[in-house]
Amino acid sequence: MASDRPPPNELGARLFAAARQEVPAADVRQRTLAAMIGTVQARGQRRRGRWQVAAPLLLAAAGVALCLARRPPAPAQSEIAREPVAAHPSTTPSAAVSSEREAPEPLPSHRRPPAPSPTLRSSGPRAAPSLSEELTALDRARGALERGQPTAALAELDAYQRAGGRRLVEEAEVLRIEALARAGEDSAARALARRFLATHPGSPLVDRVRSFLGSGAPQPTTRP
Amino acid sequence: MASERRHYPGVRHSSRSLEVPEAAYATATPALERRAAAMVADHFDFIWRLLRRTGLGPTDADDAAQQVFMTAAQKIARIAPGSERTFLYGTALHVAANARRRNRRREAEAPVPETYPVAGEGPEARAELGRAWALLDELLLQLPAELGRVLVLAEVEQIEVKEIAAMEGIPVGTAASRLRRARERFQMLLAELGSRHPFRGTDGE
Repeated sequence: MASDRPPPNELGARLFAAARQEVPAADVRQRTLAAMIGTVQARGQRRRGRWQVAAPLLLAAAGVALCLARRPPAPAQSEIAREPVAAHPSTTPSAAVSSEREAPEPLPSHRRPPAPSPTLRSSGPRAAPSLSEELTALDRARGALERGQPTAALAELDAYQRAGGRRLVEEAEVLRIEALARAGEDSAARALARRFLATHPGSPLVDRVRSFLGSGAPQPTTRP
Repeated sequence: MASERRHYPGVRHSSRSLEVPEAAYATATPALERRAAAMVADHFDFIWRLLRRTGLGPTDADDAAQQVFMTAAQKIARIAPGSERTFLYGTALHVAANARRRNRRREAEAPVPETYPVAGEGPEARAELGRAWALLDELLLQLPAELGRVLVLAEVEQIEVKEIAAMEGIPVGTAASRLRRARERFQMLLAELGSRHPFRGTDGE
């Protein structure tokens, strides 16, 4: 046996050559590529949706959201059909959760939101969130609002802020104004709206915020 | 000692950034898809083998490689053209470190699989290759991590020192001296093996 032993140089070369011969199964490569393409496409569509087609829609939705913050939802509105803000009348009275923003929202179990995705809040020390993570975070906040859970929305917006979200701060602030108003915290909502106008005078969302402020004291949202 | 080797501090990802404007991202999607396809075609085997040599079993290497490339897909617009391999390499080292931490116990208990995907090889040759890979991993474990990495890049992947330096984020001179030391120590380890080796020895079998 010992006589078969290659000298170290040759043995090393053969070990390295053996390592070069190892390849992954072809289906792993294909699965990976398919998953990558899916990710790239999904991101592209999200961008297209957010920034090309739906940029005006986003503004309209913010306006609708602000209007809805001040009155009971009217599900038949066409804007609501496009951006289903509060399309489902909540079974949770907002007033019940208006005072304790940080507390877990007392939801009936069948209306509990899906577990938050880990993208923005799970991993401790990490780099600033990517744009897609920021979009996801605001989607979650918007989703909470749509489900009639302003406190959950505020928690999502707090998480967004803590995670260092910075690209969509204006959208986040408008969502926060809406969430505060829906949670019955009108004075806080109005104060934030005024601060928004002062700090983002050039924002495309200014008109919506201004009309929110100018349209009289919003009523706390009371759901049927 | 294994755990010492298994961490990869100081590995730099590509710092160059090629931001795609948000509005342009959607129209850039087909080009990004082509880039993704090219990354898989050019680098998947390399990354998978690299993950294997960091001590992951084939199945864990599958998962880890997918994770590496999914990370690349998420950041694809910000990976500078030409730095794909460096990006994937740095990502793979992090992913590998995490995967090993997660799987350490399971890996230790797992037998060396006999069914490696080697095209066109019979069972004897496969078994021989399996033993060779296991021995190589065993020897690499005895090298300091930074030496093991440059040795694998140079000897298995046959990447030039200049490129290794770029991938590791170190000066070329440092990479060259690390490679020299790695080869010396690897030869010493081989010499200490005695009669243990995975090959049958004769060429005419």
